[in-house]
Amino acid sequence: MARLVSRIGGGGRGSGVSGSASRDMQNVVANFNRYIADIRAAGPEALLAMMEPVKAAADEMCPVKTGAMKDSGFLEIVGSGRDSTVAFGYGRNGYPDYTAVVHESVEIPHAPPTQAKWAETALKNSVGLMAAGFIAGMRKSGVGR
Amino acid sequence: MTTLHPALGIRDILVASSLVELTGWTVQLGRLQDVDKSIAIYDTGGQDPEPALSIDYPTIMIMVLGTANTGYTEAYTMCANIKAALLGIPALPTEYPELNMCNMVGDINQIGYNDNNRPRFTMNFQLITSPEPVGYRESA
Repeated sequence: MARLVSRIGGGGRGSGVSGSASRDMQNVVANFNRYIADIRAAGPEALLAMMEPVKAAADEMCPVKTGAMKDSGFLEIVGSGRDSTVAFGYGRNGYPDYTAVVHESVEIPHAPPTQAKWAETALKNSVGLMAAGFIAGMRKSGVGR
Repeated sequence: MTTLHPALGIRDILVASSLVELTGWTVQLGRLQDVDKSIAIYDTGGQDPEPALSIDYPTIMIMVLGTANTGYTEAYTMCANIKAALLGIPALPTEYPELNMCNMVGDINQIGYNDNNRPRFTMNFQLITSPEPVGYRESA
């Protein structure tokens, strides 16, 4: 993520600003960078909070015979610091090995509400709510206060 | 009125494309024929359509079966050609004039061999379309 650097007053002849305006701008820059740091710190947890309803909806739609496929669902923070992200899916490491086939086989009927493409459908159905969930997660973490 | 549904529009693009050689391949909508060199295109829902403007965000899935036992590379190559023909296609193609944009969701995905030992691949695409408005929506 970009870091905002104040360049006020650093240009050529005539490009400077008064000392007061420069300090004001430096405050703005400092506040912005603090905000960015807050977002970095809260980001993974906010993403996790945003995705929890998606995972719950996907679990509802996941076909169940033995339960292994549904149990293979995961939602977790991967990595750390600024490189962290959130992973969501089913059949991790290829177990159960039929998960991808069942997910993509739209011609196989399943008892409602279960269905093929359960993870993809949950994501598509939730796109409109995800931004709001992320913002709520950020606020819960104290970002922007 | 006949609706130009996404799977049909995409099939028409592929049939007309110079990037995809379909001779010898079976192409069906909504149902995969379990034969060598078989393609099925499915309408798989999508994201919420716009309520005021006639803009939709449908998704389609393309499933490709190769020749039993030996057709892995052949099927993958067909998928790669389909990807080339669809991804980033300029808006409003003649064969599917409602289509504004075609994005790929993930990439070419092998999901094993089927019961008849045919290699099986899927590809998913997210479309943006602006169909002729019917009902309350206005033209995009």
